[in-house]
Amino acid sequence: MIAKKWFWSIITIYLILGTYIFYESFQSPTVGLEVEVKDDHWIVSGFRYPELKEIHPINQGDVILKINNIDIHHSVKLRYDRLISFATNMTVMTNDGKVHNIKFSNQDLPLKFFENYILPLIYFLTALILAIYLYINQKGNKQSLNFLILFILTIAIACGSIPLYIRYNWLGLIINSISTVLSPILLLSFLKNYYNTLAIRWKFFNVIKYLYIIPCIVFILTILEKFFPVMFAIDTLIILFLLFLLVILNIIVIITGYVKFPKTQIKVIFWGIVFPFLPFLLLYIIPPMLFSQKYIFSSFGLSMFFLFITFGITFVQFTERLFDIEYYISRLKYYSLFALTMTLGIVLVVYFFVSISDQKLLYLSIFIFAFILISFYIKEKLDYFNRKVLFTPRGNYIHQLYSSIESIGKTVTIKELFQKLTTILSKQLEFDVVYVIDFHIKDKQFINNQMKQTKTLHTSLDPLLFDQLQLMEIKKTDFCYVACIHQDVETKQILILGDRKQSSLKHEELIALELLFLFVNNFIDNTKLVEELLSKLNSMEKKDQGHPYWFDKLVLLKLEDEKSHLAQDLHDSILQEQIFLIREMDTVLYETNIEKLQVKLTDFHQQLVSMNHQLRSYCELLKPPLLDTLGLNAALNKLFLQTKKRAKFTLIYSIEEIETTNKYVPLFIYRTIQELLNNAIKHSEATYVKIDLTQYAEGFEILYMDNGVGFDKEILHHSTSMGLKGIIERVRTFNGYLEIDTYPNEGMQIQIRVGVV
Amino acid sequence: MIKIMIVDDHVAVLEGTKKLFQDIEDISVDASNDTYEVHQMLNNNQSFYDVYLIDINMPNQNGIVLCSKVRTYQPAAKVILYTGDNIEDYYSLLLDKMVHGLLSKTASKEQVLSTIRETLKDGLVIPANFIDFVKDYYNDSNDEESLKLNEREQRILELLAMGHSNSMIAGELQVSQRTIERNLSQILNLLNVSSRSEAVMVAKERNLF
Repeated sequence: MIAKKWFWSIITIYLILGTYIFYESFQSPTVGLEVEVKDDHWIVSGFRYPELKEIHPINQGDVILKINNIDIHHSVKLRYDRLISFATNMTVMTNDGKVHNIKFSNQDLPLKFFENYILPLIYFLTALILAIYLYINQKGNKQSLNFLILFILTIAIACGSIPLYIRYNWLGLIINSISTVLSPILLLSFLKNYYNTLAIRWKFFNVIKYLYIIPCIVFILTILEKFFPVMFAIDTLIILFLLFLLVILNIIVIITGYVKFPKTQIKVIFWGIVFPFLPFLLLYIIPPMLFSQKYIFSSFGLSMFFLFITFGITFVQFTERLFDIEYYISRLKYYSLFALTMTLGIVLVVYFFVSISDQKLLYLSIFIFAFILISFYIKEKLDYFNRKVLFTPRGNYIHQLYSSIESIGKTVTIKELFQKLTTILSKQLEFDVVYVIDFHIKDKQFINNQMKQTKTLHTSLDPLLFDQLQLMEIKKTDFCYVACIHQDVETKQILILGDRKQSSLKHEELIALELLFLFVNNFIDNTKLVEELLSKLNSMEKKDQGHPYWFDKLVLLKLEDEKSHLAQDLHDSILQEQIFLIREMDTVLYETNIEKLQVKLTDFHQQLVSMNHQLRSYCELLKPPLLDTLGLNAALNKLFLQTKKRAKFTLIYSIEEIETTNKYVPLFIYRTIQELLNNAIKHSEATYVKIDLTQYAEGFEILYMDNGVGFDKEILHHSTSMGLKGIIERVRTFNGYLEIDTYPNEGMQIQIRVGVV
Repeated sequence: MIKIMIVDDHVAVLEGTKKLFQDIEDISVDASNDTYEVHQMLNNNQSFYDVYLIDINMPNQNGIVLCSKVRTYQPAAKVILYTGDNIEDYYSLLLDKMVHGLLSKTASKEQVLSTIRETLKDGLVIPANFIDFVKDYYNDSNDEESLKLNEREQRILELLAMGHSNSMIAGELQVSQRTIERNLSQILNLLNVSSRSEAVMVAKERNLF
């Protein structure tokens, strides 16, 4: 912010310039006489304001001798402009040779006086008050505010000095020229800083400071006019051209800004500047540049445009909050449209049924319009306080709430929930500091929850405030908002929202927050339940060392089943034979006949060998032979050999070497193929069976094919006897892919693909 | 003197085998039930044996690895696989020259002794069915000669040979065209051919219909 002394010196300079300008322009009232040169005489050719004829003894065709006590032939201005806009007095010679000295007064043309003097003065004073107000209140971005104040003051000076410019007052010319080009540059500086607050930074902005050379150049040029009057016309063109360029530059900056960052603030600035500038450009700047025409528009209109610009930008500066602008504008549109229709209706009725003058009708309609508009705003406030009903612009808050709840709903832990909630809130509501703390109800103090927070706000607040804070309540303190989002027997979870760039939250934001907290509260309750369940599950899993208890039980039972099966088999076969052998040997213990003994022993030897064979084949059943010693291919070859002996079909096979580090893979392949072949022997009735085992990059593939009876695949779902079921389950344990392609009497094709990690 | 090393993880078998050689004068026997120990011995070139009797089914490492190690470290030694399994399963090791002989653990004393002596004389003592194995081994196409197709497949090939289209065959056999396509693709796969005409040709050659 500008230092106090600087600010007040600027204000002083402003006042001095203003006093000079308005003193000077008060001196010469509006005249508006059109003149022409005839025989080296300056003759009155027309009146802008015919009223003048009635007040002063002056007529068309009169010869003007002197203006403001100066010989008219010395007037510089009339060389370029055949119009006497202002004059204090005039010496005129009428047709009959009489010479009058006319003294003009501001009361001659009160309306023109109002337009050309009072209005700029009001504007001048308003700008002054506005500047002081802005300085004292210091709302919004400080840097841009400086430039806004300067801009407002410069514009006011530029407007106020227009009458002096038209009068060709030299000092006035300087003031006017400089302030005219200075104001758009100040506007650019303002935009630069303003964009800065919106986090928009362009390299172009660094060039702006060099633009301040332009006013200096203009200053020199205008000084030169004093000595070279010819310069006036050129300077005017140069200045207008520069102004035009600078204004266009401003507009480009704003439009690009809006295109790149469609923020409502920029849109408002755009309309605040472009809208008033357009007629100004079209009527005031372009005509003299293109057609060397004099101003089509009066200075009154000009100052009105500047007024618009100033207030447009001030409005943005004040209500810079995005939501606010969006909110107010959408409401304004809606309300004013409504009010307009109502007003038109009423005014129409009034017009037809009551005899009333047009002017009064206009006043009436303005009054009705304003009244309805204001009533809407009052109704809105009442609605909020009494029924919590809001005017929602484009469902903005609902949408925000919806997306917040949606993203919060995906969390599983409370910690995660708080993290999400805080980031969402800081983004949506533009708070810099958002965090959740635990407040112990009995101890009336905070619990350190190890949340990494760079800035803490709650420590500087009275704990009593938190103690009294009810569930779901949002309270505003001097520098932050606090809200209780959850409460159980021991603790309250308190959300702190602080360091907001803008001022307080609006009602609709508060309602959205309350709703969000309501949801969060419920969600925390549920999340706690889920967390409990999860931890229970975790502890159960730990107890079971990665397996659910039923799994171990199942494995154990299966194992016991297998064992008893095995025991039964051994008992029925080998054990019985051994018992028999022991009995036999018992009988030979006391045999003394060597020959008989030898016969017996040979018999025993044979029996033992046969038992050994039995046992071996039994072992081979349990554990495929050769798999551990000669490997899968040897084992498979043996299997194929055995199958060929047993089967009626022709077996065609091709086996690739499968490389794997997983020791269960060979067993898997062996068992699968064994099962396929057993199945084929038992059920297929095929004339051939083909088996292919191939390796591919990620695993291996078994292809089975026969031309047997096939079956209806529906059987698979409810049959338990088929060996295929076993294969399907086996493949499932390896997370493999299995496809059975078969129809009754059409053979069967099976594809099994298993990835080996 | 013939020096023999017996490697088996079962101490009882070791003792039993050692006993076989008790009364043989020209044979001295060492035994080990630890493959690791034997590996060490080979690595350090500690002792040399004329014959190694190695069990194939051992828990830590199967005997085949040890066999090949002996073959590289002591090329002069004879390696005989000594197994409780069917020795027919290991005929391939003989063909691959991984071992010099095969002995069943149920073999009699005479069989064991003769096998060892014959092996030392570069002979081979083996059951006669080794011949069948060798025959099978070099006669892969044996299976394919027995290959037969079922009735429908034969009919399809016949009709194909007559130049019928799939839909015509389907009509003739009164099944759906999809079934015929399925059967055909299976025949192509079986005969390892890629076209119908090729299939007819190959099938004719092999008298499949």
